[in-house]
Amino acid sequence: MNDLLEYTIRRLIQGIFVVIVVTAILFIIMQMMPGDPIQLISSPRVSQEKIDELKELWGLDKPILVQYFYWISNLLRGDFGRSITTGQKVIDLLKSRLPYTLMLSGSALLINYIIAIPLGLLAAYKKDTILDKVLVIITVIFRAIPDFWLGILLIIIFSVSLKLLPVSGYSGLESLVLPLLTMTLPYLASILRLTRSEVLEVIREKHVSTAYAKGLKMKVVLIKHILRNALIPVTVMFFLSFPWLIGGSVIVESIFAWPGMGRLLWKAISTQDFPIVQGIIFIIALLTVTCNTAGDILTAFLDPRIRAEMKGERT
Amino acid sequence: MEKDLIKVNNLSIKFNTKLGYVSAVDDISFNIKEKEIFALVGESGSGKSTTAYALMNLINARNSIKKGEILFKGKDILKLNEREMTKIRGKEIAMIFQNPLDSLNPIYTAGSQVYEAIALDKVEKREAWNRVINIFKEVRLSDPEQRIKSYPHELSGGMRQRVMIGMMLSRRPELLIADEPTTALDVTIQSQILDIIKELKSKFNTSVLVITHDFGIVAEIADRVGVMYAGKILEIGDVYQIFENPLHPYTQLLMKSLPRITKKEGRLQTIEGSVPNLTDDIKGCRFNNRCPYSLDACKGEDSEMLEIEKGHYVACHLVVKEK
Ligand SMILES: Nc1ncnc2c1ncn2[C@@H]1O[C@H](COP(=O)(O)OP(=O)(O)OP(=O)(O)O)[C@@H](O)[C@H]1O
Ligand SMILES: [Mg+2]
Repeated sequence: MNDLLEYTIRRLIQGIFVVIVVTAILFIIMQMMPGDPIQLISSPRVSQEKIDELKELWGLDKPILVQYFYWISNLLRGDFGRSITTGQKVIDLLKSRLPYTLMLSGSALLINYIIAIPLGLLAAYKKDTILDKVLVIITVIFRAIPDFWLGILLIIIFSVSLKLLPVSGYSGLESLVLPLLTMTLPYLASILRLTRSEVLEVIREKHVSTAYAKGLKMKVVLIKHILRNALIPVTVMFFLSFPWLIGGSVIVESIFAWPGMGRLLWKAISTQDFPIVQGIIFIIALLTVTCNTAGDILTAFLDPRIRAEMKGERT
Repeated sequence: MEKDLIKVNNLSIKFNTKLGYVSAVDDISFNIKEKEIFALVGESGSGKSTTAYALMNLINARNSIKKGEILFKGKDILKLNEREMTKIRGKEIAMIFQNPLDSLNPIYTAGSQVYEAIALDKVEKREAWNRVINIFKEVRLSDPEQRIKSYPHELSGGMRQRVMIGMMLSRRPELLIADEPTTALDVTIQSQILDIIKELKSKFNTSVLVITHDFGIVAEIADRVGVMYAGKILEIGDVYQIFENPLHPYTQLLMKSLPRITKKEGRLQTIEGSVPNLTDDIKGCRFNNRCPYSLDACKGEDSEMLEIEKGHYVACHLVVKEK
């Protein structure tokens, strides 16, 4: 367990390092954006002295590295600047939007795994039967449907024709149903197939025969020796896919006018509202690094072989 | 004379594969007596492991057909349901599998995997862990208090095999099946493992079915031997009969090709030709295409098992003719 603690600390430090790199890249991109902030707000009538004064005030006369540290310390304090179009504080916008995105993506992810893992297990156990094939085919069909198309289809069926669910916006939990379906169905296939193939692989391993041979009941073998091993990569996938899902929510949120970060990003990009774009990318980067780190630490926790590798890596 | 612990009668096992039925085991009969070490010896693909899995009732029913009976203390194992079989596995018949390197679950410690077996017998926790440590001592793992906390990847192949042997003997089964217990291990480790099996077998009065392709191992530990080829048992006898008077040409050739690890004497003699395709419906003796003494009769019909001397059986037309 000491190994694990050591590894966790090391992994956290790495995570912080990655955040620094990512923000540095983000900063450089922002620097390369056309248009100097001073020019953006001034006209030819403004005197050079005034421009210099402004530059000094905003630190723009400082070396670029210093500017980066100003910028990052502002970001870390939650100061993302103000929206160019509305003048609202970006942090306030994020604060009001992020919970909705997390609610949608988080529950989509959970539901995805809650459905896909048992189905994957079932498919593995019924390998090569009709049930197995049907399960795989259905989920693959869902994956092939583009999410904007699926979203619109669902709106047409459930909101317009059947009038069962709200078309868009957020007006309570029932608003969650359609966006959730749109974000779950296409992703079922990959988790189902991952679970299925992992289970099939573990079943073939000799230690499963050993587990039977020592006299364990089938249920115990299934849970302790097959699922427990097979779910390690699936768990890791859970964490790795979370940032992806948030990224993917841009489209779904736009379709359903979901008041989340994705739609905010969409609008900000189309109005070239850079402070908002920058804030959101920063948040996504942070989430990605957090999830990856958490995934890695969890794998090490679940799999002693990984822990050993980590140790080997260091020496 | 000792009683039979297990008696296999006319056992056949076919696997349903994409290429048709593979007749992995074809109408074999043999018995294992109490407290004896019986060896099944034969080349790769002769159906030894399949036979062993059948004794554990671990052959997937979905893609196989089983015929015949396996009488264990009078009960037919093939007729038992999964619940009844669970009671027998580990407790009455235990098995060590062919490759010791991945026989243990990589994510649990060696000790906890042995503990898991012992705990099935409703042993109190402290007592169970004491037994784990004792077993580790019995299979001569040094520093057992530390070794119980090791994960499989932290142990060498030989150590893992010791853990396996300990685990499988921990519930004191009456029959231990050891499928190629020393393959993939170092030569020096091999004989240590065989010694441990022999020693614990006498200590616990266990019968052992040892599976190997190596007559050297047979000589070292077996009391009786069955020679298997392409799903058939061709010859059975006690170890002296087989070594001093091998009757079947296959037995003779296999013995000559015996990989002598102790002395390095030139090229290894292997048997010419290859094992027949088990999907074909084979007529006659399965060895006839490789047999240097093949007769017309060998191509025609299968040879019957005949008792040549007491307890020494062989299925060979040549032997019949010479008699
Ligand atoms: N589950 C299975 N499905 C299909 N064919 C199988 C299966 N198990 C074994 N066989 C086939 O049955 C035959 C006998 O295999 P088996 O593993 O029993 O041989 P073996 O004597 O143990 O050989 P080895 O020394 O290589 O372990 C082989 O032709 C093998 O391909
Ligand atoms: Mg085998």
